[in-house]
Amino acid sequence: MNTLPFPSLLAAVLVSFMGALPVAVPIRRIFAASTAVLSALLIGASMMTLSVAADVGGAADPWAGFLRIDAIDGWLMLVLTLIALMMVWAAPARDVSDGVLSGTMFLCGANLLAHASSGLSGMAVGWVLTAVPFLVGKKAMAEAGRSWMVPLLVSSAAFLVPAVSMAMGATTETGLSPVVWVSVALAVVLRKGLFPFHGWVVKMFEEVPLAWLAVAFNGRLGSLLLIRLESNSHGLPEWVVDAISAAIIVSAVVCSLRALVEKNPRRLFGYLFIGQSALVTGGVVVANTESFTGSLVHWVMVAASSSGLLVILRLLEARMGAWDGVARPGLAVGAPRLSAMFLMFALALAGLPGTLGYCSQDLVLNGATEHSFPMGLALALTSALNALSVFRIFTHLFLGVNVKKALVIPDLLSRERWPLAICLLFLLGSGLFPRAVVQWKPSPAIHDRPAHGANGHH
Amino acid sequence: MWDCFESGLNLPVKTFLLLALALPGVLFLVSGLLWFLGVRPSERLVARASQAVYVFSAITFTIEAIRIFTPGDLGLEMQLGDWFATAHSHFGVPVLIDRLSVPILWLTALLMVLVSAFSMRYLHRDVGYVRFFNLLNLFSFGAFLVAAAGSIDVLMGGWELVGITSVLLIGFFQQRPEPVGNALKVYGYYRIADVFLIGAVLLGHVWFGGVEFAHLPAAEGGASTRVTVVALLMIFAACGKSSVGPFLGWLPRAMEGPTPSSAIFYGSISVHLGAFLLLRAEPVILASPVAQAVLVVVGLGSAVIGTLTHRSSTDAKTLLAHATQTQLGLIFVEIGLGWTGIAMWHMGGHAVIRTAQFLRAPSMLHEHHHVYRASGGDMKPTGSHLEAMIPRNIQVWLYRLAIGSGFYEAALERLLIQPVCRVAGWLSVLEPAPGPRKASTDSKH
Repeated sequence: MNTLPFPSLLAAVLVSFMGALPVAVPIRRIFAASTAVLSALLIGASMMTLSVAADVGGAADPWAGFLRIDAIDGWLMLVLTLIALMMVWAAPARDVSDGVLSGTMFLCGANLLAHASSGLSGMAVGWVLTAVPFLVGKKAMAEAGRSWMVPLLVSSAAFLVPAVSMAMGATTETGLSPVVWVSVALAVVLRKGLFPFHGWVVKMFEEVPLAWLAVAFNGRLGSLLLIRLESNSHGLPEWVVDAISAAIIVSAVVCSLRALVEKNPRRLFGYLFIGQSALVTGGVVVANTESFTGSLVHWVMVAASSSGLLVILRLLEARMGAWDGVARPGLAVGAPRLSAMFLMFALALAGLPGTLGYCSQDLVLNGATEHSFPMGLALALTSALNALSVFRIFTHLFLGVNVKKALVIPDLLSRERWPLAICLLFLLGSGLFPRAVVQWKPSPAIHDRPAHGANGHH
Repeated sequence: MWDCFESGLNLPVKTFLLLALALPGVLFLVSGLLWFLGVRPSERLVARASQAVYVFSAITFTIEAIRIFTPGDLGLEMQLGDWFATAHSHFGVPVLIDRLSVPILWLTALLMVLVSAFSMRYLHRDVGYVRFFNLLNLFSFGAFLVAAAGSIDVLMGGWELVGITSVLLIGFFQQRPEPVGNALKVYGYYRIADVFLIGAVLLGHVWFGGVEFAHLPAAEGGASTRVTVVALLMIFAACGKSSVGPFLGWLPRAMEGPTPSSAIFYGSISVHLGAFLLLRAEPVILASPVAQAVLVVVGLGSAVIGTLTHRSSTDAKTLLAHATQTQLGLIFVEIGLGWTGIAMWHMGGHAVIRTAQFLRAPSMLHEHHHVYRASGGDMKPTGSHLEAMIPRNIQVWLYRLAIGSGFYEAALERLLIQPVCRVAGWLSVLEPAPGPRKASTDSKH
């Protein structure tokens, strides 16, 4: 592996963590956003170095050898940093005075560390650090906090088992021992909130800052762990794939059903996130070229569209205060652009043709069906039901009220408008011309998994 | 036969065809961008720009129709390259211009000219004027895409665009809860129907190696289970789009939208796209006797319920919606029986007459009075001699069935929606209890 000419990767991680430092309130937004911009530029510089050198194998940081970047990780890290920037920049004023911005940048740094680590040990540190903001503070100490504290701690402990065993070289002839694989499966299922451990994710969506969730969940460390293990010398054992596939299928169906009847928008987004996680993870575990590519594209698409939705949801909370989820506030009357943005992000998430979501879902569903028809069908059903759920919340929030009775709130401010517009333009532009984005190639170490599905041989 | 250069089609004509297909979509994007930037174009500009595009499309498709119905010229397939590709697969964009697609394209463009001219006056000074024309542009792009698609993959793109514009136009009068609620319900129907089409696409890729219409498995060699499964999936997807069979309930709900959109969506183009899919996938459908039988039964059932229900409807647009279902049911029967030529003519004729009826629906009462006066006040209802042939108790039973719309919606609610919601509610036992709603969660962290 080559080495980067300067320690841009280490600097990107450190700068992100620096953004979490408490500074005076008047400059807090500027400071956090500047660190996010600087971090994105450093990652971009690293990627440019890679592309100039046409180095597909990736390059290590010259000062911190355990950090490395390749084409796939580079894009994901860049997207993550830009999401952090959007969440910081578009956050309502009331979030600036609390620890929301610091937590967002801390989570960004921790995720970058996990993504950039070449080994499981470094990734384990990032994995544990991403749990820290959720484990400290008033919310975590309250009763609600216990519902996510246990899964986060257990998943962190479970992750340490493969990390330690690989660091100690404790592998058998056929790869890692079954105990280690059970730990891996447990870590992934718990971390991603797959069935039956989906409740804590929903509870967390209800309670903690949305900016944190956008960065933490779009880091998708569970999927990243599976990618790392797929590309090691032995790959994932078939039974681990089957176990995680089963969890994905059940989670996808259960969460899409729960979303259908959920009225609280925050909890609804929790279910939608799990459904989207199922699509991304499904593509990764199936691990044929199509599904893997689709999974990575879907990862980027979900990151952009869900972050846009979470920004808008937070802006609505700040503008309208409490909402019982039943009454129709009719917000489109006062905020037509906010409403149009919400609809477009929602439809992108649902896979509307002309957005990146259509391409990514096409790839994931085709790849998943080739491997296992039940998984393809479950993911297709999830996608359809989630679209219905998100459209329902759109109609409830924005439509159906006479002008005289509507709650009139301010439309998008220019500070909020441009990050969202850029995000939406990315989704539309890459949806209309997806070739540039759909160039992900699985690591050469990842081979197509034998099909078990519609075309498979049992 | 399929190569555009062999068929003598020169490059400018090809460019014009592609422009005619794509321009409504481009206009939608440009108009949306201008709106976001705060530019407020006048009503006249919006309508004229849309009309110019539709007139251009109509002229192009008319020329193409003349060319394609010349003896010996059967059609062409244009490969517009790969939209995106991975190492082992690619999403090609084949465009199929033949004797099936051109009539639909031509009819769509022509009716769009008509409906946009009608809408200019009908929606004058409506707050949603620009939104209406934007959605109309997106719809026509979607409908063109469906008609010209050379594969189910491409068709699916247009199919979903038609679906979402349909839903947004049903909820067009967004200040009232009823249209919005009905839009949501129709979206539910559409999404479930879309799952069937997605299933057909996915299985088509895996089993047949692709879903290009020109290469779908034909009747030779008899129907395999795989062909039957894919054919059935396409039939149910078509039922969803055409509000036939198990998806019978949504069409009357869709009447909440403005009359011009009802005309173009539910009188003419959108509801016929289901039948168009079946005609396009004719080799697969006719290769499976099971699929044909299902199509005939579903179509016949829908026609019977539609004709009963439309006779008991109390408002003009709902009446027309049920009458449309009747004709769609018959079109499905014709396709199931293999009478695809008749089905094609039936579609075209029905689309035109129904558009005219929908557009005249707002003035129906006025016209009735006019005819009543012209006839000298002697207008007796017809058909009573037929009713007399049915026993009284069956008449009552049929009337109850008709005013309950076949009790379809009630059965669906009781047998499917409520149980699903109940199961979804039970699943909450696996989750921590939700907390009380708070004004602003984040800032208290």
